[in-house]
Amino acid sequence: MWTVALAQLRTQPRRYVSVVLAVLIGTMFLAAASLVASSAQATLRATLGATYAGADLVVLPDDGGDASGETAASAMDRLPSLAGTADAPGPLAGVPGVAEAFAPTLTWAEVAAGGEPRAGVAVPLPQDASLAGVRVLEGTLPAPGDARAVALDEGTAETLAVGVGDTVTLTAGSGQGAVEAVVSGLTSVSPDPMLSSQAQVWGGAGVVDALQMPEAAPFATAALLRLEDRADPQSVRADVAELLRGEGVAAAVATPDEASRDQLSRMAGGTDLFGWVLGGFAVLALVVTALVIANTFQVLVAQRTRDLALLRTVGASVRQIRGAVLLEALLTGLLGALLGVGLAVALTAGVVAVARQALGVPALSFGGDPLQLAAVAAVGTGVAVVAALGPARAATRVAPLQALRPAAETEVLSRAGLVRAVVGAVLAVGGAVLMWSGALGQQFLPAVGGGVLSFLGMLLLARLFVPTAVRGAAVLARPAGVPGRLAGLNATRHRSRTAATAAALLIGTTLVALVLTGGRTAQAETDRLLDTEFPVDLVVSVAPGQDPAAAARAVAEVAGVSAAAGSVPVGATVNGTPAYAVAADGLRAVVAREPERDAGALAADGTVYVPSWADPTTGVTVDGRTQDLRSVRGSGLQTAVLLTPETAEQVRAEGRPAVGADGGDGAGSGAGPGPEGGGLVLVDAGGDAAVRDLQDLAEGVTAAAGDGAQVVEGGLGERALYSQVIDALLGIVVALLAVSVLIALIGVANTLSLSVIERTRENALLRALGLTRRGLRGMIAVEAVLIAAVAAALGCALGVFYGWAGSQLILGELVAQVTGTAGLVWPAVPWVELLLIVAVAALAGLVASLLPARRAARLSPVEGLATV
Amino acid sequence: MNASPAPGASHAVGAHHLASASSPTTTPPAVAARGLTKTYGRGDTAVHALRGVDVDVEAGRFTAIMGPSGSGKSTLMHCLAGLDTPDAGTVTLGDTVITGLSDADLTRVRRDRVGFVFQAFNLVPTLTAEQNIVLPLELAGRSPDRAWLEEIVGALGLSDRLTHRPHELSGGQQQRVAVARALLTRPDVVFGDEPTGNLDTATGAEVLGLLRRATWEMGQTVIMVTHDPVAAASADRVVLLADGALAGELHAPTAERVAEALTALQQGRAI
Repeated sequence: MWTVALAQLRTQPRRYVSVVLAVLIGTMFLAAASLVASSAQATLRATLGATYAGADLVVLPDDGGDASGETAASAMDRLPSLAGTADAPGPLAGVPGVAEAFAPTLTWAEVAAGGEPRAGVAVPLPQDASLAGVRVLEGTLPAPGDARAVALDEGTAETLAVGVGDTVTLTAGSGQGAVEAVVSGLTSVSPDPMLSSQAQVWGGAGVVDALQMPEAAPFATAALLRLEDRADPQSVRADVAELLRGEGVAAAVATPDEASRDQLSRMAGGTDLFGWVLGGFAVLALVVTALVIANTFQVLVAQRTRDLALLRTVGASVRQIRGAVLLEALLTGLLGALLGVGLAVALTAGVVAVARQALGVPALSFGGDPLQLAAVAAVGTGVAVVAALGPARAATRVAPLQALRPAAETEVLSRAGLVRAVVGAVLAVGGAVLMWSGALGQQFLPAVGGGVLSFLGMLLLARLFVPTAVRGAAVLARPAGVPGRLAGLNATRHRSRTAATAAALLIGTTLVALVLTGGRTAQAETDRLLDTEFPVDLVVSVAPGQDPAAAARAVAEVAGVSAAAGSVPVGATVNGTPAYAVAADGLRAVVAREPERDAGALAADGTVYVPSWADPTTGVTVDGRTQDLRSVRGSGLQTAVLLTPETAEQVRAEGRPAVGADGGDGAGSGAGPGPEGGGLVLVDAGGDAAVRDLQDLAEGVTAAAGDGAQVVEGGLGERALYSQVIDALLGIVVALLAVSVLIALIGVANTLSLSVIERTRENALLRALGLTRRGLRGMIAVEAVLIAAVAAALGCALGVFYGWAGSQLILGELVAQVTGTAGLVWPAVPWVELLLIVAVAALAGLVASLLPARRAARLSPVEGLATV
Repeated sequence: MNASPAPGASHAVGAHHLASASSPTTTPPAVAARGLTKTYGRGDTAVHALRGVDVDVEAGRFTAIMGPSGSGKSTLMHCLAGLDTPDAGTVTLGDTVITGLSDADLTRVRRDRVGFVFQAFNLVPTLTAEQNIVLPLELAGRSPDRAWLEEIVGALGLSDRLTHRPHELSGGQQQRVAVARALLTRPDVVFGDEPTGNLDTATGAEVLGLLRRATWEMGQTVIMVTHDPVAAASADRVVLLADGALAGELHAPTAERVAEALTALQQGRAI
């Protein structure tokens, strides 16, 4: 068994390269997920640990697990008083054995040295500087009682260009209470993750108190205790706990180690989640790996029929044959897994080291859990072995007699098992129905579950429709003459092999297409919803004195603007909401789709356009005259009340005298969107503004509107934000999925290479009969491109289908709420991206065929014909 | 007539020109080889498959190349057919010297001017019989002469088998398809490499008969490599090889004479 397996691996190592490669990539992904999580934890441990390192005991708010609970907050409020300061020690410092108690309170402050202030945090100094958790790099720490000296962290000092002896100004968060202080020393940047991103100012109690905002009581997230030399930690701990209980504070005493572990587990919840998400993608990649390996071994076994039959003739038992195949899988899988883990470790360590330098975050640490990594390697190996089980069993079914017959070309026209087809159809259709009912009903579990079942059914049916699809697409290859036709026939020669190869690629491309469709649909829907919420895309206020109409004309020239209308303030509603007059056609041009019933009424004489948040009263005051007007409700958050100049004139002429203090001059008491007396330019940006141009558009419009123009609001900014977020998420997810696609493409290359080896004799025959080397290479290339492109195209189609359902699930309710319609989400199919996917797959197929084609073409006809 | 026999092994490097058949002909040979040498391997494991072989093959005749195992007969055929390139020497097919050609040109020569019938695996499994027959023409991008195609198919008794795939045909039928393919392009030479090796006696005789008829009725030049004396007896002329060099030839042979000569060669005797 060992001899056979090892001999096989040694004599034909190239056939196993792709197996090793597939396992390597899948394992590397999984290991990377584990390493990212453990590195994040290691980083947290390093930073938090450093925070508590100087203390002997730590008092932490103990909320019983709920970090946002009342008890935790109140504990944090009480810790500062319990600990007291260096000058006025609190109860904690009075516990026998405690030399000093220090609660690092955080007071927001801004530090400036004549230029731009930097946001930061002022922390009082403990008596014993080691409790602060920072090192003094230059100079000294100010004395706790010194009200005029501070120490800065070196990062801030560098930014502000100050050194020891320079003066800095500290202002409290509320803007009041400036304190001038001399920098007495520079410290290292605090490792505490809460502080490290801010400027750290260490000062005596006097400085900190001066910066204290009157309404905000100081709080501390922990109290650090330093024990006297001969104190017994256990008894002090008990005493402190007693004290806390007595004071009714919900806090616990712990050693620094315990404390950092406690904090870690709280904060690590987030990193754990990240690790799990990455792990999910990695598991997907491993599923694809399993498919690729199963397919590979199936082909390998088929090619070694005679060898295996020979072994059986000579006396090998069924178990030994199976064992030999599984052993090959084990060895190749193990190699791939070990390499994958090793590469992941090297890569992660490298990235951490580079990031540490480049981002200037010295606390960034690399962490690897050996147990987890060993488990990952085991998983990778296991996947290979499990994937080879089926082919191993097929190997045992080779009859000994097959060794004695001449190697006949068996045209295996395998018919998809009827059972398989029925099960697949049921799953596919039933799953799809379940998925859609769940999506329309906004029920998560049926939708996702149905989707998964449906896809599984599709994979089972793949053996039916994939070869047919390839056969159909092969028609396109006809113009290539005989090589084209042969390529088409070869691609579907072994139906199950083609289907298996395509299935791996199908998984990856379906998911990518799904994500892209979902993302694009989400983008389109949010665009639509935002259009409804913000009927006017952009509202720009012009400086008083500028003519809004002229500004509007200038704005209309800006690229990307489809319409712009200028409006002038004319008055206010009876409730004080400012009202603006804008020409009728301008109003209609810039306001987006409104419900049918209102569209006609919009901007008609005697109507006023009222935002949905404003009061529905329709009395409008212009120049001291009020009239009730018919209102057209805006469906969203538009800026102001809008009416036509004619209507304003009508009010002025026919209205009754205004009453009430705020009716008089139209200024109103409500804050208007623009500066006093200034007009507004309403802009419609046209539906197709590309996201990356939105920023430019806003800037262009603001520039065109004249000096002093400012963007007031509008859907444009929101649209840009949402688009950016969606794009970023999409990018990440697609990148993660791309790993699976890569593995699948390796599978395509592999299957092709093995198929070509199988056809050595036949290829030699074709060469003898007159097929040139180039013709042979072309034939193999066409074959690969057909399978890859068709699989990708099918995956795209499936992905759009499932992506549609997913979008319906996620956005359906939102759409129904906002538009009041049935809430059917129409998919936005990302045609360009999908075409790109198919093109990339075709290209990858071409690249995959290069090596096998070259090898096949180099073989002389004589050698090939002599192959047994 | 008998030619001077080639002695055993080592020093038979000189050209041994064989005179043509008893009836002198003025037409150029279909295939001519001069000084063909081919060696496989190096040093101790070197195998001298061909040692300076000269041979002319008459046009319009059925020639058999025979010899014991390892005599180099297959290598000789491969070189003559343009499937392999010799280490030294020239091969002339009609008026074309094929030994200096590039691979692409050589491939085209094979496609247009040579026909092949192998012992087994003659056909492309994914194509029908008809598609296999017209394969060389299609590779050339030409469409077949339908009248000629029908004639050949009829002569070979394949009319009702054209839409079948190779695995649906018997061994004999597969060989007949191969013969049809070889004849369709009206090549300079048809090469057969043990064409009856896998067939039973009756079917084998059938195929040989077809090749014979091709020579008689169509004037087709046929060169066949075989180790079977009965098969060789169908030929007009038998060229004998031993240890990579010419060992003699027989004209209008009978199976017994061929067997006798073969045994003599196998025993190391001159014939």
